[in-house]
Amino acid sequence: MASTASGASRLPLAWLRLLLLGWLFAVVSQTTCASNGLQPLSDGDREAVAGYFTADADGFYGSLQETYHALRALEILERSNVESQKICDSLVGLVQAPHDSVEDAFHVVRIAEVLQCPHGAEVAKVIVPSLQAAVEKAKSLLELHYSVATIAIIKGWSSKSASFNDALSGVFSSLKELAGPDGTWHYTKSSSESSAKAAGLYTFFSFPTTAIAYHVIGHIKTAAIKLFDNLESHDQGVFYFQESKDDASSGGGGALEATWAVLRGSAALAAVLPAKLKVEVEKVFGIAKFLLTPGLALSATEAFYQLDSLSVLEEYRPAVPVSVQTSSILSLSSNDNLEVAVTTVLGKPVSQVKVTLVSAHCIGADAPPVWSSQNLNYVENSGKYVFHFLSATTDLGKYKLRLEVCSVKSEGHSSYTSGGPVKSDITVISAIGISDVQIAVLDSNTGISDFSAVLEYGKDENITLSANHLQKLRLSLKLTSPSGSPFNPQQVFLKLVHESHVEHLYLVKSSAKGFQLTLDFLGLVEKLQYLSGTYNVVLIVGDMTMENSFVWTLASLDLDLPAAPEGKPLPPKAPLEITARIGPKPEIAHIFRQPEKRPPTLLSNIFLSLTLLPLIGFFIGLGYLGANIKLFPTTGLPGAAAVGFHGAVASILVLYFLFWLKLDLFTTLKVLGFLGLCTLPPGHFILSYLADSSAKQKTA
Amino acid sequence: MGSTITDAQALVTALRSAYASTLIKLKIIDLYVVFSLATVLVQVIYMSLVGSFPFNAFLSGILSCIGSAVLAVCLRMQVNKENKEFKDLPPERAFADFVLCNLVLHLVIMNFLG
Repeated sequence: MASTASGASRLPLAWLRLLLLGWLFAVVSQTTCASNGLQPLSDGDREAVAGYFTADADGFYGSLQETYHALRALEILERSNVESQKICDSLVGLVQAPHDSVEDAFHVVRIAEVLQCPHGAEVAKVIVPSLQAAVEKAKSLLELHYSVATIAIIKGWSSKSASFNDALSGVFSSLKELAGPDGTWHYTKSSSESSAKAAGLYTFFSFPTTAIAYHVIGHIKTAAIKLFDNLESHDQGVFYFQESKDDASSGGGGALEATWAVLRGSAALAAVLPAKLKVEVEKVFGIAKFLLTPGLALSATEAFYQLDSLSVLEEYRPAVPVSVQTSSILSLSSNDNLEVAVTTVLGKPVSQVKVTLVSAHCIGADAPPVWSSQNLNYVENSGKYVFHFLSATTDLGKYKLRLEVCSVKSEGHSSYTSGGPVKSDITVISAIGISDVQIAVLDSNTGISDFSAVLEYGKDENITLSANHLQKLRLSLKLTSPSGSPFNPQQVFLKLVHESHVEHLYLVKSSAKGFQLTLDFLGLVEKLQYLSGTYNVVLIVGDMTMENSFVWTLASLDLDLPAAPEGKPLPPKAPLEITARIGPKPEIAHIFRQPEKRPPTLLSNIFLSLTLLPLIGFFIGLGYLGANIKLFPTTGLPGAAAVGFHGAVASILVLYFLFWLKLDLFTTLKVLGFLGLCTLPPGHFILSYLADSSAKQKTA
Repeated sequence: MGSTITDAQALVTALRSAYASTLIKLKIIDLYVVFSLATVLVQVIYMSLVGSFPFNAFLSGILSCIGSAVLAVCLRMQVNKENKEFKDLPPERAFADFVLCNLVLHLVIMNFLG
């Protein structure tokens, strides 16, 4: 197929380069990008979050509450560089100092629990007396929470736990008062705002269930079920709990802290009443998405709430959200397996699920699915489920997969949820075979090849061709996919690069016999800008499913073209740097309207004086004629009127002169009106006086 | 040929003698008209030399002179006692009209002069 040179397309080069680079990069990078929308906490996030916690000289991280947050967060992140011995030793001293706040005791006890300090009994001994008083005094939700939670933690350390039961029944009656009629919770009896931050539910149930009267549980259970009614949703399936106005009294914290509190409370509740707390799977999934939002935690406190919530979600009774990630590129040449990684939100592998490949369709073809209803096999200790996807007959290209992750029912384990069926795309790629690459120089008229060479891909042969404008260049090659059928990549180009870096690009068209391109230099002479010299002949082949896309310098061509005709300016040569091509353009000099030619000043002045000559002639003529002003009245009112009249007219003329020089019409008209009024009376008087006097003269 | 010249000469002499008998007032007005027209001539010669670039200035200059000439001619017609048409019009009134019209003309001229 001889594609004529005029039919070959020339494409913008920068666009082409970017495309090719993009495809090469996509093939080379093997990042997993297909997932069910949940990405577990990344290493980068972990590093960022751990960076919020810096210890003081005495091992603490600020206040007691901040220290507890830091210790718990670092425990979740599995960092062990905390000075637990130092902290434990100072705890006893802190507790012995007199304090009225049950909150401090609460934090101290929590720190001791996290670090598993051996001084538990000593701490309990000191706290218990003041704790009993605090429990009786507690009225608001926070006070109740702190006191009961402290009791719950130290029950294991102290032998006096039985003595708390009486105090606790008082606690529960206070608790009932704080519950609203519709199942909402308030911070104090007098508060009117309800809060989703049901922190009070949190550790009440750390006590053994036998210690709690069932009617109390029943009441709290109905309230607990309504917990999730306050769930707010954002777009893309993210759910969270909104803070209420009252939350400022418990330290604020926004949606993150409210979500943490509800999660803790519902987790504790579910531990006691597993069958009664039903939460919809998509809500749990939405909360997980919220907690895994990148950049969610901007401070140490927020980091603690995020990490603690995620650790709650790892063992959440109603449903544990898991992240499902599939590999996105499978290579036929290296016979990759399809790998699906199932992990918890904190990245721990999950093995108690069954992963099924429901269907796999080739995108773009209406063919039946390549695979359907296949189970994936678990690889021990890796959290990965594999499947042997590729076979000898698998076509190259993109596939749409549908996976289902089901929890394997077992006692004592939560059920896992992936938030519904998982959809992902994978690309099957392979190395493409290049064969029968032949380059030839043919005579234009006869079609007989003057020179031809067969090239082998991979071998670097420095072939030199020479041609002039009466010859043609022909390239032919074959591309085959691994299954043996001819392969049609998205990019097959031939590029001619002159030694001065001017490039020309031609499309190599495909046919049943492979790819072929014929360049007729006779027709291309002008397009090549009459540039003779050495050209590099470069073949560019690229495709999304091709592992070995390449840019191959086939040969070097000595091209002899006729010289450019006279008078035709050569277009500027392509600049070497791309920055020169996209740099600033030359400045445009605007041509404005030229001012009109004016006559020389001398000539104008001469004619000015010439114009005044007739005036002088007029006055001379007047004298010659014997004109006089004898009738001009000199005395009395007529005289004054005459002077006034002439003066007024003269002033009008002066006004006109000023109007010409600098005044505008409006001012002039105003002044003219005034002056006209001044002219009228004297003018009228003198003219009527003259008329009367001449009439008298006639009659006399 | 000779008779034509002598006829022309006789015509001119007759005109001159007839003209001498006109009133001085009218001769003054005639002189004014001639002065205006002479000024127009000078301006036209200048324009033909240097081109009419500020055309508005040229027009206003010419119009001022020609307008004055025309108004002067009107004044002469009205003041001339032999003119039956304007018998009842007092010459002072005609003069007042002349002054007023000149003032209006020159306002317009000054505006157009630019």
